[in-house]
Amino acid sequence: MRAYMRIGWVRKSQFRWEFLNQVLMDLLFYVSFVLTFKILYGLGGSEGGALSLAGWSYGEVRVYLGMAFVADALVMTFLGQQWHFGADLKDGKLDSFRVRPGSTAFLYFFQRFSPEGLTNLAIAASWLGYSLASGFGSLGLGLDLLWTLPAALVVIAFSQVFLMIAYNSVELWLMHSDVGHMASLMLSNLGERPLEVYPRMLSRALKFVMPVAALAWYPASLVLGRLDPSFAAFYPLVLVAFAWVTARIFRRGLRNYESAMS
Amino acid sequence: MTPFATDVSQATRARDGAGSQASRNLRLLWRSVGYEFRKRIQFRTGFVVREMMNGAVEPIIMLFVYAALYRSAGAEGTGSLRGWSFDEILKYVAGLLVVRKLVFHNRALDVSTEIFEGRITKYLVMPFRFFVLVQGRFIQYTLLQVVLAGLVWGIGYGILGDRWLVPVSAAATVQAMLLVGLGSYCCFLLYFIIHSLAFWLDVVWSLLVMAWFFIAFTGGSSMPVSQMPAGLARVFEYGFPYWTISAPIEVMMGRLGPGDVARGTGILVGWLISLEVLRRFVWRRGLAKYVGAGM
Repeated sequence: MRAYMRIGWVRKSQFRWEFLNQVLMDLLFYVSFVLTFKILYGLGGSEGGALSLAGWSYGEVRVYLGMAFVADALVMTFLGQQWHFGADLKDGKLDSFRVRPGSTAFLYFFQRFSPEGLTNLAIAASWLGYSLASGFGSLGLGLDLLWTLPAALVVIAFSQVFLMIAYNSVELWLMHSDVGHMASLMLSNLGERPLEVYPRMLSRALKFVMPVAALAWYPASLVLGRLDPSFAAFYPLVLVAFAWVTARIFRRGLRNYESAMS
Repeated sequence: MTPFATDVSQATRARDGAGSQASRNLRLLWRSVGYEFRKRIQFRTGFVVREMMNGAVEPIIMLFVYAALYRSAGAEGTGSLRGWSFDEILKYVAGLLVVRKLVFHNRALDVSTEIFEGRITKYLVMPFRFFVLVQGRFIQYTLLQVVLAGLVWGIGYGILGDRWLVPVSAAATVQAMLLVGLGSYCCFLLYFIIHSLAFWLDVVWSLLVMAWFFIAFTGGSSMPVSQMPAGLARVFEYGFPYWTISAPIEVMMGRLGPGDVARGTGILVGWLISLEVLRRFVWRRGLAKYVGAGM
């Protein structure tokens, strides 16, 4: 009886423990990022003093990080299944999604909702809110925020979905090779710093070829009023074009899928 | 239809059937050749991506960030920020690219999966300790990474020459490698301990990721520890990650001397013994409750 009680206790507490761990894990990720930038800006003396990161002040970088955290938390909340795509393809587990009446990509990638991710999304959104609130005076933010912030969040969500599909499309040709996974990690990493720090060619590639710019750079720049109005209006069209091409490539890749191909 | 005609038509059908069977087999053969090639390419692509690209992107991003910061501070040339010139940062990043390859990575261990799936049993009846097999994995990983790290260093030196990290002496290289080796073994022990928690927990991957965040940040993966605020740097100097990543690079650059190496070796040996004791304890307690069928 004691053993049964112990097993029951362990079983029930497992998921709470894992929930706490995953929340802590992302929190650690946020803290290490914020701390790194705080120390980097502190190198010039007082925080946010003389130093800037390719024209971004410390206050602006905080908003930038807020956008990057929200983008990351959206993946953790809604798109966690993407990490299993290579293995599932290899094991032929896509069959049941292909025969259902609906988009295969939607049915597959959105199947794993994560409450831990949602908690982290709340934390990331709080950081973004805090950064924006403290920037009202110093960053010159105004009522524009009423439309720029929702627009920025829509851009993040839209781009995150299609970028994730683009990374995973590689797996449809190079199955379980980790190329898609590594591309996702590398490009997300690049997008988590203001694009102005990179050489012009790389920066352009991150805006127009694999538009990770849409995850933090464009939304933060839009909210902070750093964009030329014509570019601000034109860039979403680039994202729509990217989404269209990605959807075509994914559909074509799906035709390669013949169940268990391993 | 005459019996003869029936025989002819049956023979024709049989021949046609044999022909279509042969062509079907041929198509299948051709397709399976394609699959086999695909599997090989996938395996090799995966190897290149995992082994060559792993740990390469973050240091390069860090270099771009630093270049922008030093430019804004007007310290690109001879100027320095908290004791580090930009040329030194460049050498540090070069060192990071090499050293991070050598530090044991969690992906090389699958102990928790073995525990979850109840596969540990088969090792327990063998006439040797299970941990010897895992140590073999550590040595294999290290040997492979030494070759890859050498390759990365060679490519970097070929491109950047003396701006790349060139160790100040052979002795400094040996000292630095000693620190990296001991520190890498500490990482290996820490990961093993976390994997062993699978005896009690259902999922351990989040703990492994957190361990890496901790090692990377306190070890100086995103900036030299000695460039961090003094209080923070002093605390991190008591941890093994600092002596695994940041300190060996500074030894090769000539910023730390033999006295520091001796102190670092002492700290690492202390950590190593503590982690080994903890590993044995956790493993023994875990085995005591292990029933051979996963959780």
